[in-house]
Amino acid sequence: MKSKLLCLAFVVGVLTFCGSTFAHHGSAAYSNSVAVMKDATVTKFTWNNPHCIVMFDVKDEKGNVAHWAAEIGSPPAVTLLGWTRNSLQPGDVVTVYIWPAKSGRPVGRLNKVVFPDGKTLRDTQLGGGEGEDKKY
Amino acid sequence: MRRVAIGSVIGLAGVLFFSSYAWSQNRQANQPVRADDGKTLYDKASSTGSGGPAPRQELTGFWAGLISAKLNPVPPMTPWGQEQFRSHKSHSQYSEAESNDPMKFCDPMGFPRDMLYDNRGFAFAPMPGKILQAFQFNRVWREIWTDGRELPKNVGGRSADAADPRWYGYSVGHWEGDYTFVVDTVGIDERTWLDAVGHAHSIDVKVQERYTRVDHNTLEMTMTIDDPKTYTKPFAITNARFRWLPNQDLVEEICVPSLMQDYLKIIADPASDVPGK
Repeated sequence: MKSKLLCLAFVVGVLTFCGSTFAHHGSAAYSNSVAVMKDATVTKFTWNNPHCIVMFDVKDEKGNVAHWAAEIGSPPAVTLLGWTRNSLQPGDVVTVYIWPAKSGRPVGRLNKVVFPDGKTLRDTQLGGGEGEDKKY
Repeated sequence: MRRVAIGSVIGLAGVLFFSSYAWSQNRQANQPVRADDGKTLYDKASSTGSGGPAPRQELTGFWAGLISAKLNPVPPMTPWGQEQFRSHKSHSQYSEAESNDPMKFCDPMGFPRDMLYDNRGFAFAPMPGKILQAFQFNRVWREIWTDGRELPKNVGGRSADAADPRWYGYSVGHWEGDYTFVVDTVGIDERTWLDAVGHAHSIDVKVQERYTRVDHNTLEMTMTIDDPKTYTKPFAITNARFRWLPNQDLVEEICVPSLMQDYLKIIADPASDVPGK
């Protein structure tokens, strides 16, 4: 029994350590760790200031669909990274890398999207320390 | 007791696992942030060389800058300055929904924040008796009088002839030699912030910009803030560099109130899970 307790304590320790790496936030509302969402289906892409928004659906293991919305930079900023207003179309299936909101709601700051052929479009945010400004 | 302990550990493990399951890649802390991976208009314009000697007393044209200027630390604030600063809830400290940054409402950034934040570039355009400075962001402009007039005094005062405060203040400019253009500004509305962090200024602030055209393609600017009501001493808030934009074409970027409301509703409010203000 003691060994089981030690094992559980070890698991808790590892997870706590992982958790502590989320604590260094640059952007007040978002986690500092990237979540990966495979087979995300784009439902809408808006090309607007102050931020373009990628909306997509993700199914969990039970088949429940979550409706997500992720912001990226402004059109002038992401244009420099290869985005256009037609970069994402409804129905596109991509892998989404996202810094989710700490609130637990299905919104976040996009890190990048990867298409099935490996093409990648990344956002303006590279990660960063305190005081990082996400208004781009 | 032991069951309770085991149960607690299992429960804690479950909570931590649940909160962590999706994360597979950690954000790198303390990495310098380059917002667009070295591909700003400024970076692109940086490879064009000097373009030859600077023309005399001539700034006309579009100039590309960093997205936001690199700011120097502010000096110690006065009690009044601290009070104002505390009342400014920037989105570097607060969620977008909790922030009261004027930008959140597409309110004017005003001067000098439009030179210091989300700038990307501007144009100088001469007119009779003045030079217009037109900013990329929001396509707003200010006028810098060069006809020798004096700056208004007692802006926002109680006397009948006191001028009104302005988002972009009152500016006059003059040449010092052939390559340095000096702009003095007063009368800036106190509702504007100096920067994105929320540093304040009073109606008494005096701002001086010194633009030096180093060569045809390079323009350097130093901005100093003199505001005894807010800061204990004058300070240079930035030393910025701008580059001649080869195609002379700045992109359009406008804060649209209705689109900002959409953004707050779809992203910012759920992200912080409190109603927007």
